[in-house]
Amino acid sequence: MLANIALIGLAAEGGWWEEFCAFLRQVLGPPLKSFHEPIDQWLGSLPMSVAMVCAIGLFVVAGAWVWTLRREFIFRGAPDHQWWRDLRLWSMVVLLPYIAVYLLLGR
Amino acid sequence: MDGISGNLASIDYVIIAAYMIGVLYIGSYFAKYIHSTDDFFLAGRSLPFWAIGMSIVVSDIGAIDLITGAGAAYDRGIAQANFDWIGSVPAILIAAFIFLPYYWRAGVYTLPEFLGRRYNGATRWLHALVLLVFMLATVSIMLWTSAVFLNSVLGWNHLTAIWVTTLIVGCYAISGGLAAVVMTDVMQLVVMFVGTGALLALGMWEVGGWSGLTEKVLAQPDESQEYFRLLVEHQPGTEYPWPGMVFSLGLIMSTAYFVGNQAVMQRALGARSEWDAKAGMLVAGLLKMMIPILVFLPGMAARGLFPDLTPADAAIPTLIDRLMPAGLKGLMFAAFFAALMSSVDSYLNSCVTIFLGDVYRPIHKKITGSPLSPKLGLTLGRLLTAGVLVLAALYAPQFAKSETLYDVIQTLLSLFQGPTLAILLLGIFWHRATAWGGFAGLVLGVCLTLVLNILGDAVFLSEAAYLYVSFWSFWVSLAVTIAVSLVTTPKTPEELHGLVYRSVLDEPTAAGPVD
Repeated sequence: MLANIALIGLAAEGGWWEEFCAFLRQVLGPPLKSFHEPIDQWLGSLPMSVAMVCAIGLFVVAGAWVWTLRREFIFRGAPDHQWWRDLRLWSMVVLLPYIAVYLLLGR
Repeated sequence: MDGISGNLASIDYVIIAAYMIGVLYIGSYFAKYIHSTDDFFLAGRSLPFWAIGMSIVVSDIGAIDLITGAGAAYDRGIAQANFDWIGSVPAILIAAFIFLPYYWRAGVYTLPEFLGRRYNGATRWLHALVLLVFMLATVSIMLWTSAVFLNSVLGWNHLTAIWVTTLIVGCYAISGGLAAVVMTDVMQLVVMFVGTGALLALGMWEVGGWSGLTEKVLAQPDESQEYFRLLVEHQPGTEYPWPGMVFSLGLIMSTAYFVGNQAVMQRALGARSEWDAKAGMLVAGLLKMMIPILVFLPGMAARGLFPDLTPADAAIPTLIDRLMPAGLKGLMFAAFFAALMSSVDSYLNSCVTIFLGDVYRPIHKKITGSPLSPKLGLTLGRLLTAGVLVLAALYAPQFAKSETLYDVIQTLLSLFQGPTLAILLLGIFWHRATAWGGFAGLVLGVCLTLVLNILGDAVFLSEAAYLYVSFWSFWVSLAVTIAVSLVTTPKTPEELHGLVYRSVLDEPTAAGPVD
């Protein structure tokens, strides 16, 4: 990753950059690690059913929210208000395959 | 890219030539309709929804994804699909129904332009600079990928391959602008889907279908059902732990990508109506479902057929070499080149849009006292397209030193996605966000992402540190923007008119760029 950052020309490769990175890792690494470690442990302790709920919940909440949008907003700019131009319906068409695949392959 | 024999039959060359001629013809066809900067950068606001959706998807998927994404799926299994599934669709809905109507009605060309109007010129300049670095580097990486691919398949010298690609893309991107780019993208999507579909069919047939694949992979040492699960446990050494996938990729990174990526937004802003713009995003969401199936599943099939490949990125080239007959090899070549060129031309057009709109246009107005004329803007747009392309081609060989180009791009994205989303959300939804609050949030956020990327595995559990970098940089930028805003002077309601959410959506559409 350090070489990647140097590669894009943000800083020159070579001694001073590597020393700077080593310095940052030495000074900031331990305190930030100690901050992040309890979070990692808590996340690791969660059952995978929580992961499924969160993942599928993201799609479901997005879908539910779309249905709260006003009809006038959905059809704005459309040549007519035919039912097949209702983007709320098409949003469901988009979401359902994703919900299905996460139910099948999530865990 | 080891594994492709390079022995293409005559029919393969015919197919490749037909594809190249088709792309050049379609791209150049649109040159006669280009008369202004609106025509060049926004396709004259004439794009239909289906072209927008198809262009967004094929621009998103490059040759890098076809090779390294499939290689990652070979190694890590179906979890790779999260980048195109949960890492796309909730965000696409947010982009389609919140941000896109907002951009459309506010009349902005680019995100830096909006940030400049909402916050201040310093924020606009900094964001434009970060985006330009990202886009220029991305175009360079893509040109280098082209060189690696053509060297592997046709034995071409790397530099020759870079300049051939540059010439072909330049021919239609310079003349036809966004319309040429989008319509060639439509053709390229079809070619890509047909080519990868053929590879998928052959690969899955050979491995014995899904049941054959699971049987063969699970028979390998050190392999488990985790290979076939989208959500993976959050444990040390896990490449794609589920919290990173759901909370960082699903909420932060993907939203930042779809609402802040100029290449995506520009297509939608070129729509013929607001309805087409929204519908185009939904088409993209639907088509994104196919990407892991067409790209990553062949990588997994390669794991079942050739379990000892090294490196894993050899998965697709090996499948092509071993399974595809003459004719289909040429089609796959065309598919790869389609994926590659569609990404290069998209980022190229967007890079020039940002440079012209956010860097040159304000300077021009300051010096001359008058706005940039459409004719001059068009000429400059074409010259800049050529210039950026040449610059990217000159820099491309530098990426020969990098082992994992996919990680380079993700690292580049992580440098600004979190901070951009934070100040964008606050700018649109919170009246109290001040100019200096936004600037401070962006500056400190970008600095933090740089530091966190340097720290990498010294702090984070996963090797994919960019997942966590984006997540934390978003929250820190949010906090900094709020804190600084509360101690600095807010803009007046008159200054915010037409910039915050409700005031934009309840008013008729604004038109044209604002200097």
